[in-house]
Amino acid sequence: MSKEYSTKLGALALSLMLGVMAYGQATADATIVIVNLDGPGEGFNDPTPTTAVGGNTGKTLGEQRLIAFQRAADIWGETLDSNVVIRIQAAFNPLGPGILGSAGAISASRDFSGIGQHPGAEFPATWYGAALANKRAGVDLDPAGNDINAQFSSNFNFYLGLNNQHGANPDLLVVLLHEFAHGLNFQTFYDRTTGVSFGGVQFTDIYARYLFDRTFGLTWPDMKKKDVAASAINFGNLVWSGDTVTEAVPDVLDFGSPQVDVLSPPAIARTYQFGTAAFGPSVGSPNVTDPVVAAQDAANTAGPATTDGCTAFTNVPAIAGNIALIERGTCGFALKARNATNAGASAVIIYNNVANAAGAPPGMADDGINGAFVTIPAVSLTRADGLAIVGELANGVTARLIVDPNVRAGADPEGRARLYAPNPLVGGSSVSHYDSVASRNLLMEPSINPDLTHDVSAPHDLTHELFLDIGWFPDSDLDGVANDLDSQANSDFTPRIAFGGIDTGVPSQLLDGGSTMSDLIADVAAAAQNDRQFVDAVTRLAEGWRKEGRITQAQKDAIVSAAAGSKTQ
Amino acid sequence: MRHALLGMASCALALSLGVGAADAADNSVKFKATRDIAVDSVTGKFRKPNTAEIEKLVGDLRAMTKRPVAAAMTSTAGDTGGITAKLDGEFGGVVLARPRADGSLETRCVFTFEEGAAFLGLVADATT
Repeated sequence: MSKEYSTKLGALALSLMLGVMAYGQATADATIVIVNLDGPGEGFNDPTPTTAVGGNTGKTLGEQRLIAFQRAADIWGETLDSNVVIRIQAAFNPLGPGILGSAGAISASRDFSGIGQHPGAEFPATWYGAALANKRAGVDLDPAGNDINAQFSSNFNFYLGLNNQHGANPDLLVVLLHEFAHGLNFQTFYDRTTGVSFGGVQFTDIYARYLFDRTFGLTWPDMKKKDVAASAINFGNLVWSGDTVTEAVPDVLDFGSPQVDVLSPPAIARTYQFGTAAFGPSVGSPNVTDPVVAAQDAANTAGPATTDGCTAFTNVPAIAGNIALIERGTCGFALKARNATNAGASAVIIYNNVANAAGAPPGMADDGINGAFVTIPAVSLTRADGLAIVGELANGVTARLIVDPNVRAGADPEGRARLYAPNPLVGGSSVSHYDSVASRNLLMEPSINPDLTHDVSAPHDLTHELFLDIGWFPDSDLDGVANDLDSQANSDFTPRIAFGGIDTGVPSQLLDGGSTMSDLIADVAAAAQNDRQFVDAVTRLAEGWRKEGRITQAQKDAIVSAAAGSKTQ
Repeated sequence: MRHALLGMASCALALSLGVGAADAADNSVKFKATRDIAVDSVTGKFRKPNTAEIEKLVGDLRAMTKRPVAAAMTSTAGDTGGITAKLDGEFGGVVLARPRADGSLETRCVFTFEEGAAFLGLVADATT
């Protein structure tokens, strides 16, 4: 090939490439806009002067709030791809004490098809939140409405910086990333107490399709409603079945899953849901495997029951070297655990008393006095589980409080991420969050932990990966064809076919497989060895499009003429 | 993780003691506060919310955790042949905060009134 020809074709290819790059820069990712619903002088429009904080350069409180909102929107916008603008309507209002804010989808859609190459709903009778539905439809399914509603507290002193240096104050940016994620479909629309999906038993939602119960061996759409309700409280056994999350788990979650198991007798041998203590060493420090012995103490004013462990144990020889079992109540957890320590126990289990019979295993707070004297691991159990152990003590009960080094914290033994499914049901917090046992901490745990970063993808987090599983497929050129299926993942969407400076006037269409007509012309330009090959290849393309009815004879002639003309420029 | 576990468990405990589904659904039920969750405007310290603050809190929490009734939703058939139902943000998560003993804040995302009330220490007031 001559140097002159090479340069000419190179210039043509470059001009086509520039079109691609310009398009990519302008429209790739998703555009998320904040629709400010606040009135003059309030919320986002609060004129109170402020100084810059953590990279947030807003000069008023309202400006800083809006900048933080837009930054959270941009993080998700840079992470997800959609050709439909995502609109978050937002306001700051004086909410009740303790309420930081709220966000959720404004609408949900099902059984929609896609425009052009967009795939539409992947499954029938399946609800999708508005933003995800629009992405897959390629069009706004509810053009008169916004997609996510957000309301936050104007009373609350959030950290408004963008650099994660929030100190003791909640980082508004992290809170927004979490809540926006729910609005982007990190949630199920099931009623977890009845096991019925929004709209009735004939429907499910895209999130629920990946909820797999290890006990039933089924995903939620394949389960009876009573079994779904049971699954929502199947602690440790509700996992995410999506491949993208599972593949990322090793990059995100650490080995070392804390667990409490009863090993014998067989009648009660299993893994137990437990609560932890704010005092003493953690479970696994050290691992403990020992017989369980009920602590006995005097029934007195410090504690009316002989099982409450509120005073020095009377069966120290039996307790020494074993796991002490104590009933909750009357005195503090830390005092009970201190008494167990003093008796030489290797660990202590405190189970709920009658007053808390329906409660989950409690988190055990320190009293500021006794916790410092506790040198053994302490855990709590439900009353039902505690009584099950009590009932077998005569047969000999052996338990272990360990960190399993072969299981990742927040995953099941098969390496699937666990969902938060506490027993008893803790309201709606369950299921639509990752399990709180995860380590590292994840953005979508029910608690927003202070060590979270602003990174929503592996190896820092698993939220983006879950979105990929539910259908937020990567689509760099936003043509509706997923990158891994797209014959040209960064298509040239120049409106009309052009050869260098020659505009044919013929619209460049998006073809099956994700390439545009301009893409294919660029391909033959890159492959041609000389002018003749180039014009012949373009002619064959144009003739094919004419035969398919995509263009007219006149348009074909215009394309061929322009191709021929371009070689002489 | 440890704090998360603690919070999860204590939250569920409070649920069992404080606000049942019936209380949550009954707008006439009055609540009282058991935790210091309101910031005193004078001292800047946490204190229990007063009656007006509790009413505001309960009202906001009820509104934010309201769940749509499918049959009452406005469903429309779109150009793409699908059905779109208005949720009006009623499936949203609500982020709450309460102080820990060391003064730091513990946060929790909830989806129902019951859990929110439990986390914030609201219990049905049997004295009124």
